[in-house]
Amino acid sequence: MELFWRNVIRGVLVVVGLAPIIVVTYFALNRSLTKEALMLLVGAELATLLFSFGLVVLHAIVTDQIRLDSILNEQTGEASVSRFQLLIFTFTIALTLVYLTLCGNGQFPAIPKEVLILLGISATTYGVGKGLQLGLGSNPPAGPPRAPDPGAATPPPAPPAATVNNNPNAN
Amino acid sequence: MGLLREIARAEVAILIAGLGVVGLWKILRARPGLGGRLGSRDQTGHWVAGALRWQMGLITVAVALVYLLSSLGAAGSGTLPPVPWWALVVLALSHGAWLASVARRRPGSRLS
Repeated sequence: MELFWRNVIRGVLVVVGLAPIIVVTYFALNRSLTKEALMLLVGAELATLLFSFGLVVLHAIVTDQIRLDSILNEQTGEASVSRFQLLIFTFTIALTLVYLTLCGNGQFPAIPKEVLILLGISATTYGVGKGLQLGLGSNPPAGPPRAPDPGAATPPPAPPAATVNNNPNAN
Repeated sequence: MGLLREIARAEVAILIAGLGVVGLWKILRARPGLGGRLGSRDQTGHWVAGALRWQMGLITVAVALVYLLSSLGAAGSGTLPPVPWWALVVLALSHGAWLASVARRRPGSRLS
């Protein structure tokens, strides 16, 4: 079944890619190819190609080739608020841009500086939070004890490890 | 060109709806659930860290919802609606408080 859908998508992409060549050749042979018709054809081709790429990505998400279930997770498996807020603000601004473009005359809307500051706060929070949490998880996990090598010299004593404040009453 | 624009609009709408539904389904289906993990306490086990995470999430969702609603009224204006400066200040304070709570958990931190 997986192979069937993959072949269907490949077939659609081949047809979409070959269709303008066939149409342009046909009109060129009949000498009735106008500039407007050519622009319309190229536009339709671009729209169809972008739509096909979107469908391929959507298909990959549905079949778990692109996994989204850990998009809001830290490496440790716990939920990431920094990723959550970055996702929310990015999608909010992106959806607003798409909505205003579709509702307007097709021009790209102007972006006020407050929106850029908002995105800056969001992205900075993500970056700083990621850096801080990488520091939190930098202590390597304790592995199984290694057998001592009889030929090796005695290793120097390990420096004292940094301790995490586990006192719940420390706030 | 008018027909092409309508086709492009329909394609964008289909793709966004598909990505939204599939993405939400995948995120909500993940186990353990997002809400449960957001509500869990941090390494220190203190409730303040959990409260800071929740306030940041709630303020984020509130600002995003208000912005989306205000953008519905800005259709045809050709510019994105601006964000009030006090909302930016509230957001920066909220994010700063959460970052401070994360920094406090760092080993050897002067905040801990």
